[in-house]
Amino acid sequence: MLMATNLKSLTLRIIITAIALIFVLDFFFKAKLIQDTAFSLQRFVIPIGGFALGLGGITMGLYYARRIMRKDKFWQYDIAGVLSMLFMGLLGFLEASPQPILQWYTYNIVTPIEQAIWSALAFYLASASIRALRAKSVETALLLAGAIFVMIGNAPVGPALWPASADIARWFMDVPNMAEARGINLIVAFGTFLLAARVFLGRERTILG
Amino acid sequence: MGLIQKILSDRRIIFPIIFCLVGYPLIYPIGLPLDVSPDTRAVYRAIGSLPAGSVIVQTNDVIFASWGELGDVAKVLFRYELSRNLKVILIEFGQSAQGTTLAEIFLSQIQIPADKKYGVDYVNLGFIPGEEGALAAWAKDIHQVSIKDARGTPISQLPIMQNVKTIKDIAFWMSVNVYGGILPEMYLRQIQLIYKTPMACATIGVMYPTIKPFVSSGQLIGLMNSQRGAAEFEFLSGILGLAAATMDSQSLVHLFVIAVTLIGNVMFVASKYGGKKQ
Repeated sequence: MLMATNLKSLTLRIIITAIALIFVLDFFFKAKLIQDTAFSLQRFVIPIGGFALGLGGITMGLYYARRIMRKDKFWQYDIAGVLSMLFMGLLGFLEASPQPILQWYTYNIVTPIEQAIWSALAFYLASASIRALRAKSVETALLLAGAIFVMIGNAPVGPALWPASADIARWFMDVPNMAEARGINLIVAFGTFLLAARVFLGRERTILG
Repeated sequence: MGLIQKILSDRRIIFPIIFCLVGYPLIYPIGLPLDVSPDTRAVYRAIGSLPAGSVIVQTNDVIFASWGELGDVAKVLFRYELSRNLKVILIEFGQSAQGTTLAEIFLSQIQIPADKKYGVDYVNLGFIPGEEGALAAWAKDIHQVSIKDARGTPISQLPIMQNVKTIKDIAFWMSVNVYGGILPEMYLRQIQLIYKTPMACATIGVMYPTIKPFVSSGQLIGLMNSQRGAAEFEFLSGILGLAAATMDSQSLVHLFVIAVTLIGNVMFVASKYGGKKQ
């Protein structure tokens, strides 16, 4: 039993490493066989991505079905959610292009609801920044100064009121923000590379399940 | 002083004020000045300098919630591209498939010149699932990956796609996306880095700082900052839209937040030192 599990794990590791190597070779070399193989594998990702969306829908449906059957808290809302999902799904399948009902439902019901929730963030962000930005120490004073400069520079009217504010805000974006982003991106890239190396060497087995 | 500080940090007072500052200028526009950022100007110049007949990809990687910020961006860009006689391919590589529906909706809403025809001057290729792998395959052979457009027509029957076989046939890549650094990085890795296709981006306000470093590094030609970017582009291109009308609201709310934050801090510092003296 243990031997069979090890063999399965080894086979999976070899397959993963071989596929990854094809993409690495495809990037560096222009051999037709490698390019064609990489292209076929890349195309293979598309139906997988499509199925992943379908799987997400099924998982969500099952989750809410269970909640409804157990009559969990606010289960009535779940019924509305499941019905909406089924309605949209069926419209997507059955309605012929250009899908006027789906478009009407999307633009006049779904989009305004989501935008209303999204817009509420503006109130919370404004309120939070007013209450949280307090110069309690040197560090918070620096943060406050940076936030004020960036806010003035980013306000559409800001540079008209104070011409230098746009340059100051741009400096914050181009220098400290750039330095921080580069640092994070480099760390992520090295981390990804090391993770890949660990997978290839069989040190990292969590992806095998 | 404590009472004023309490008032300034009370949501029951702040929320109605913000509501009024957002709502009033939408009904009675003030006409506050708008500064055009160099990043938006760079996008405008880059698209404007493309020769007539060039093919441009405009991705619509958005979700319904973000349409308030990015809808006007997508519309003004599309209208400007058509006005420059460019061939526009709308497509979505994001994670939701919502951008394809929204693209179809905005195509039915905006005024498209009578001489511009679907399938000849512009096309919506729809949603391509599979993210990075799918994008890499699409760049190599478009016709093998995008078999049909969003309306179900085989792309081999569309005149616009006759001379567009790989990414090398595309002159410019304009990414309108809500996903912050994730998608632009993917486009930079798979398109700009390998094929050197010029690229620019438009995103929502909170994601702007995550993409801005790629402009500073020269990988992205320009970057449009949500609704403000759309307003700037409307101003530059002379194409009238709704984005510019919302700038008064944005300016007033920004100024209110700055003013209240400063007042709150002055009072905080005053009370701190005042307390020490006593």
